[in-house]
Amino acid sequence: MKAEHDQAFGLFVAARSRHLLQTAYLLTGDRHRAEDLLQTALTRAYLRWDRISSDDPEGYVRRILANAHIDWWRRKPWREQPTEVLPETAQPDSSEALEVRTAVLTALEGLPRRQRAVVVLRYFEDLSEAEIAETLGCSAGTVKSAASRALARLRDDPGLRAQREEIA
Amino acid sequence: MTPPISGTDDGDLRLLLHSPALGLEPEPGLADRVRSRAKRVRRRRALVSTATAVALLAAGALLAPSVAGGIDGLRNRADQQAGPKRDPHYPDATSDVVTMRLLNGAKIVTWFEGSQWCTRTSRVTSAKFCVGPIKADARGLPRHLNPGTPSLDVDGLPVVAGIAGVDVTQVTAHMKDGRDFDTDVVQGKGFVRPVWSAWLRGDPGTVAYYVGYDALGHEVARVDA
Repeated sequence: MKAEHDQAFGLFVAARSRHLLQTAYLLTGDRHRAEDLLQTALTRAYLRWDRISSDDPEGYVRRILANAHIDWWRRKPWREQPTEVLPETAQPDSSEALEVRTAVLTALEGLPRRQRAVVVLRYFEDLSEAEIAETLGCSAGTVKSAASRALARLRDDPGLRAQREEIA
Repeated sequence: MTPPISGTDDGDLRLLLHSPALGLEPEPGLADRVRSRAKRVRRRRALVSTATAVALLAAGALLAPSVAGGIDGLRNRADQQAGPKRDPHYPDATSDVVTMRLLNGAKIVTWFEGSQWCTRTSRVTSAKFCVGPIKADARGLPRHLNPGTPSLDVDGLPVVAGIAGVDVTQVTAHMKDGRDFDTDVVQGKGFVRPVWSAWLRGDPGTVAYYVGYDALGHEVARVDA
């Protein structure tokens, strides 16, 4: 039983961890924090695997990621600090990729945590407003207004605008 | 090719967030690291449960001589009543009145009135709330109070509390959003059963269920909120 449990969990991690790590990265904007957040979420999922494996394990992990991100940042002493320059990453990048990443992460950085989570769940995870509301434990109206405010901010973001003009 | 950026258009924003430039490769051995971390969590829970059990036993052992002494003293003083210390604010209490939590300068207290388990806050507007009967040999998680119960309410902060059965030494509250919270267990003189409570910090959310663990950290009870 435990072997089956472990195997199923291992397959789930192998299949979905890349996508979930990108979700965590978009939520946190920092590779190390994203990895830590994902490990935290997967650990909780593993401890309840018997109950969640037959239902929707990815939805469960996604819920933990989004809410732990919102809650965690509030409690951690090293709260997110806006920086002028995004931290460098170890991976080699083309300048084009670097520009896209910097533009997107800087723009997301300017959003409050809940708005950021709504944007990531809506436009990366492709969840409906009702699904986001269930994930974040709030009303669909709250999601709608958060998405609207977030999009307005992103529209005014100078990094995204500059990038858009450059490409146009 | 990097997708075009508009920043205003839904489709473009979607493309942008899916950009390979934002993709990360998980570290190898992630599943194994998660399993190790889960083992540590289980071990920690077992340790907390054991420590709680040991602390309760130690408290019992420390109290025993004074209780015995008190009984001897009472035998020699017929004019004095036996039992827990009387609190004039809780005239019907048959147990100690114990502070479970301190929140925003307000106390949340608990006590027993016979087999009834009671709670109340020190806010002037609060009224006591009692449920029961609680049996001394109750097992599992026989009673609990969810967030929003007026007798636990301090400034709208979400607090939960309940009764621990004879087989339960530690309790966790599990939220629908996947978070979980360890609870604190208190015991007082005259308590029918120990009482557990937790403040659900952060976004209130909704409690899904409560889990009770024995002294070895094994799950022995689970009840829906």
